[in-house]
Amino acid sequence: MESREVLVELDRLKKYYPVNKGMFRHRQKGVVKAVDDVSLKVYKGETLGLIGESGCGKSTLSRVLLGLTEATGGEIFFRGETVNSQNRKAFRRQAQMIFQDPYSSLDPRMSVGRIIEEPLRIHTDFDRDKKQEVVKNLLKKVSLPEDSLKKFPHEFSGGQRQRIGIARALALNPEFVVCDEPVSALDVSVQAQILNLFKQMQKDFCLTYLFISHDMSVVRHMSDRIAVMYLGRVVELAEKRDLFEDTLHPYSVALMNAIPIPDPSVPMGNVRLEGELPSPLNPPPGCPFQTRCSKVMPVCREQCPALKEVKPGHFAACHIYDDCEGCL
Amino acid sequence: MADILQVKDLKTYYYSKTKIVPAVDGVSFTLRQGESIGIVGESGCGKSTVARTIINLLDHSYTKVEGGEILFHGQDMLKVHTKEMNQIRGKKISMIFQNPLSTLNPVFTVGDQIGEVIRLHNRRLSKKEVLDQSVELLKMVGIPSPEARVHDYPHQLSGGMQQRVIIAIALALNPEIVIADEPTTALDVTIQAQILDLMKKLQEELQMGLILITHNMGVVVRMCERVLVMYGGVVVESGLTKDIFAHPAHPYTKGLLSAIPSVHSDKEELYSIPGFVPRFEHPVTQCRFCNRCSQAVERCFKEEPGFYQVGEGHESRCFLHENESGVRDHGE
Repeated sequence: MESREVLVELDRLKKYYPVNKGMFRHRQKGVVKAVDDVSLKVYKGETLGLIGESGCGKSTLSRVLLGLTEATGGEIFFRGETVNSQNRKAFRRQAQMIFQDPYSSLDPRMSVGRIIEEPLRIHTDFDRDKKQEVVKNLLKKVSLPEDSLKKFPHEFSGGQRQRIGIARALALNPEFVVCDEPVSALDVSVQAQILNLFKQMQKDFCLTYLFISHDMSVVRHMSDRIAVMYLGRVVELAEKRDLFEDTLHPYSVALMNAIPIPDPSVPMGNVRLEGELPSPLNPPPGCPFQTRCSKVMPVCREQCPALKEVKPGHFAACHIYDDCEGCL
Repeated sequence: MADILQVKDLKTYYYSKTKIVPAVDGVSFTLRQGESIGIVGESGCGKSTVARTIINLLDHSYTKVEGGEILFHGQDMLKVHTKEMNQIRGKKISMIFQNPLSTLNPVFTVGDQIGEVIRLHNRRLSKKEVLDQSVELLKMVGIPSPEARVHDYPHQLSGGMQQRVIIAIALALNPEIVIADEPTTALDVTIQAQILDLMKKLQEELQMGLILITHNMGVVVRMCERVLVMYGGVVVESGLTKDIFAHPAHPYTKGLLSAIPSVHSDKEELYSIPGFVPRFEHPVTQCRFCNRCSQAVERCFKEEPGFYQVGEGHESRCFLHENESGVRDHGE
């Protein structure tokens, strides 16, 4: 495990959004801790899945990671080096993003050729012919016809647009790609095509993915390791098989139980979460999950549990495993 | 149990300047009292149009019901007058829509909106009685402290709570049929599970007929006894949920089911149906799935297949079954 090369590392990453009130929004009412103290390692060549319900901070995490919004605290390391304002451009070249909505992430007034070529214009000094060649190769890779070059995004279906987005992300031959809910806007049959394409591209380009989704089955299909987020914190992190078959955190258990399974022979799980996500503006002191947890203990109301290794490679942030030093 | 709704050969077409799109092209099914039917399919297959035709919510400037019958207790809903339709809609047949926030009116309180339905269909109730009934309904759908919540505006509630309010509105008049169009698509899984539990419980308690429209196969399995799989405006396969998921007959259903990643096992590659849903134009003279089907033969491109019986109450619209017709491939 330790021998694997760490490509991207997040160290106690924080992103707080201030919430102001008053006529001129001049008084600070509080902060929303969208990402709170998240430390993660992404190993080279793996797919790290990130799941959680809406509002848990998974998209904010991806944006902070790529520098699309400034972090409030913490550090990001890429190949062991801190990403700062000096080397951010070089980092961006190696780290690309694929967005959720294939309709709004492509500029409607740019032709497909220009969209895919744009990263090359910014980051390289290729001449026109060279750029054309790269773009044509990319189109072939993502199985779009060559005459797509001069067409505009509105002429394509959702699945094809997502292919354009993938081609654009791969134009600079990046090492690390963040996929933020890339298939949630697509139909099942098209979703399968795009997921297969992601896997194919990973093989062809030796990519490392951070794959964000709220769909458990998609994340399981794509990932090697999975992190579960709740209210801005990572509550469980494990190899995918361990996570699904030996779930530790009560929140993950409830999440697994809530998935409707398209197979009548599999009985539905009966662990249900009561209530809803508490307001991120006033999270309860202590464990953020205490309000909905079935196994809540007095200590949960006082102290926020840290993410700790309960079993080899299997991390959970829950007080249930406090006395678990021996299990290692 | 008695049939409450019979849809026979329903055809709803969309008209544009240049072409006619057969959004629903010959759909038939029967709903019995207390039964739940799922209609599944990908976007554009016509599943929502079926629902909108049944309760007559179509925009008639570009749509037209070209044929068929919708019999509700033997009365053809396509022939009733608007006034009568208004009596049926909401009271006997109600609908739950996908996006809770856009379904609710932002400038009225939750209580007003539930009360509106109650008052419209029973004008003799006093304000107090209407409010009491609204609170009662909110309690039934599991909203905590309903006495306070009844005075809230929609934006003060979370998505799950909003969907509960919508369910309360839909159930306000004890309808015989509820049509739910993607009721949980906008919600998170844990909330989705809560809402589905609630709908299932209420449906069984109140003995309503439920037509659930969704693209999520998992939701159908949990909620419905029977399933209709739609593609390109027609039902391609119908039968009991357990039969369809255990022995899918139509190539489209088979493809759709194997395209879903599983949470229980790891497949290296997913099966994917090649191509994408084409746009159909009237008249269609071939199997609608032939261009994407791996088992298509010449005949599929020339005529449209009818239904073949592949099991008890299990039908599939594919020529492949012709030879095995009458032969049961089920090991029941």
